[in-house]
Amino acid sequence: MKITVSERLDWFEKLSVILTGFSRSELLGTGLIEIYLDTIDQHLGEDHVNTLLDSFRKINIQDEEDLTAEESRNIQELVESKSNESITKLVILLWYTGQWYGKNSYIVSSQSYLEGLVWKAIGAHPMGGKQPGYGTWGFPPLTFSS
Amino acid sequence: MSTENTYDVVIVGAGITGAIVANQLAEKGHKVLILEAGVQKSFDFESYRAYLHHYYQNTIKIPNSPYPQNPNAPQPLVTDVGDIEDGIQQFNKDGYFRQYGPAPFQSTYTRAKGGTTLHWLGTCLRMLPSDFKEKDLYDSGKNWPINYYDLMPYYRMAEREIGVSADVEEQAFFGIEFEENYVYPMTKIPQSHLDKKLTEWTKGATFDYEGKTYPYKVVSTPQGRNSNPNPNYNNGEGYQPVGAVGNPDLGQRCEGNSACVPICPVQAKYNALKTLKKAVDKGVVIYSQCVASEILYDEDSGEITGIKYKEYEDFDSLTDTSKPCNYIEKVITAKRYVLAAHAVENAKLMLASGFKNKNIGQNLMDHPVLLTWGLAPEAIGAFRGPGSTSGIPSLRDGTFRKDRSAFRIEIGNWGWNWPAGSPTTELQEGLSKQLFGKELRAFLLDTVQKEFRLGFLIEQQALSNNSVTIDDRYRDELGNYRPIINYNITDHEKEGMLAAKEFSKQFFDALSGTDKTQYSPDKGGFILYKGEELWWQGAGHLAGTHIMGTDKENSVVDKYQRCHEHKNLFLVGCGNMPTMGTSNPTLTIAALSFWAAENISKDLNS
Repeated sequence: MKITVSERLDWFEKLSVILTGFSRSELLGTGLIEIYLDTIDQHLGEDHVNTLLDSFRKINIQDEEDLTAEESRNIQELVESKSNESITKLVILLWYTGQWYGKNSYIVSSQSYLEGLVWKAIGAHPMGGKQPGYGTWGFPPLTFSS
Repeated sequence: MSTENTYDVVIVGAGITGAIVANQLAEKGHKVLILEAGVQKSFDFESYRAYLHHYYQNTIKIPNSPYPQNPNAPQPLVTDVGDIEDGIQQFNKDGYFRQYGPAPFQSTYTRAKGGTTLHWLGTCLRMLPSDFKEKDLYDSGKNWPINYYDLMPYYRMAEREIGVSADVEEQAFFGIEFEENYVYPMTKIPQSHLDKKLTEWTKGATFDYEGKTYPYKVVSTPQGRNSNPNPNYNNGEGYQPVGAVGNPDLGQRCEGNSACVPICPVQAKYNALKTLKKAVDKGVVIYSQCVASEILYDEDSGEITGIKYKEYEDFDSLTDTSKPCNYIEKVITAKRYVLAAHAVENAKLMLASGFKNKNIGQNLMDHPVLLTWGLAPEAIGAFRGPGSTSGIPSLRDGTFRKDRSAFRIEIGNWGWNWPAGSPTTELQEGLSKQLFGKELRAFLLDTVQKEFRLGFLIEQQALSNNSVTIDDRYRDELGNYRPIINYNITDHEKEGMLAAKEFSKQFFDALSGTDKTQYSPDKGGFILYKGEELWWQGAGHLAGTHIMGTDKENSVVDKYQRCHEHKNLFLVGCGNMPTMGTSNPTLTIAALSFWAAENISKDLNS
């Protein structure tokens, strides 16, 4: 089937929400969704990416930020499937570090480094950017682990 | 070859020591030129921002990652030290250093305007009075020809120049004295939440070792980064923090960027560009892209007659990463000469010039840093604030120095970033467990929020076998020598490391944390000593290659920082240090540079 550009972006966005554990607004806030989809296309080829997006589409997620038990099982299956395991990891790494992990690894841009989700995930800020301000390090961390 | 002769003083190197000497001499009306090997010509903030973006976009985040490799003035990289294969330490033979081991020399420096202060942490500890007479007190190491009290006024000048933040009442230990009513320019940098919790968790507990007990006293570290000016500074005159060069409103306070090493984005942390800019405003001239290659001297008198240098063509080190340039050779002459090019570069240059003093290049020292790491009992919020805001000084001095190295314990605020590559390592671990989404986030948060590490800076003795030499076969693209390094650590230092490792075990027990220290036997710096696994890294504190002393038999320079055999040549920097004690050396060499500048000026006027 023919997939439109906006459909691709929409599915990539929803898939990214599930793979990263960050909300759609947080991902949009990075300003990097289109750039990341382009990056993945460029290295893996659109067809390969479309296969993943199509498998994802078929799960027919209702709300990507609040999965049902069945949706979760299906997603788990998709992520662990032989054909998709490596690509989903690359997508997570790209979102979390701003770096493309391939034969020639590189950081997509200064912005992608600074928007790396790993820093938010650990309750910190990227080293060298998004500074929290003078003396903030003397206080208990704002986010606590459950 | 063109020869220029319009200056009173020519200085080789635009790092902190060269900058201080230049600025002080210009202040006294002397005409000064600095030869700098690096490419940076301007002082605008955009060229500094280019370093920051280079850092962001570098996949390998090491101390030199913001500062591009320049084939005309190459610099060592920590990644040049390889793994241990079949018991043999491997080295990158194409790296700048040619290393012969047997132990890896793991420290680096930066060959650019501003020097290694571009990537230093900013720790500004004075040395202990005992560090200056270690041979007399402990029959270990060497004595200095000057003592702590001689250096006190110059420490004060250095603390002003760098802009040190600390509370004086916390810093008077092990005999360190301050002048009455002295305060640091700025109040202490707030201690991290981790520092405070470690104090709380280890309260009343002690480290017990070889029949002695030592307190776990966590003490705030004096730092060359801007905090709040102390209104009582300089008898009530106060202090004005110095912001970023070319953007002075920026960097008036530390903002918690958590990237002091390798680059402070706002220059709230001092770097030598700040002093250089002042010097240039006073008329000091800097020749960039000029690599000193030989010191010319009269064989009979020893008097320096000029410095030969290679000026290479314009070169964009950010884009032309491997392009060596054409150069022309020139000679510059002056009344006095100063080598401020770094301990290794100074030694290399003197050896390349055929200097006869046998001590040149010998006594190479560093602080081997034993790293240990683990988890706190609760989330302490790793990866926030300056790299380190406190240390534990209990084992910096004692009669045990007869038998084993003293060490200073640095508490690291950035999780396991140094020893284990956090947080990327944990991310990869999460992915290998097939985690994704919210579970991956929870896993990362739970692990990394509790992480911290200790670094034990082990004092190293000055020994003739640890050395910088040159070899005709190994040269860089401009035909200048690449430094040859022979390096090892002794049982004295290994005994210090054993004590450090034991400290770490007892410390983690005392705070009910989880010691997660685990060393790979194939990683450079790993050793097995008396059945204990030890692993150390370099501190970047390269010192001792042209030490000061009483005569040419035991040293290269005298107490005035002047070469014994070349009366119009002064040396500055860590190379002059006969011992380093357990203090990060920058503050001390800054103080010595003020002393040297005073001596040079007197000499010029005599």
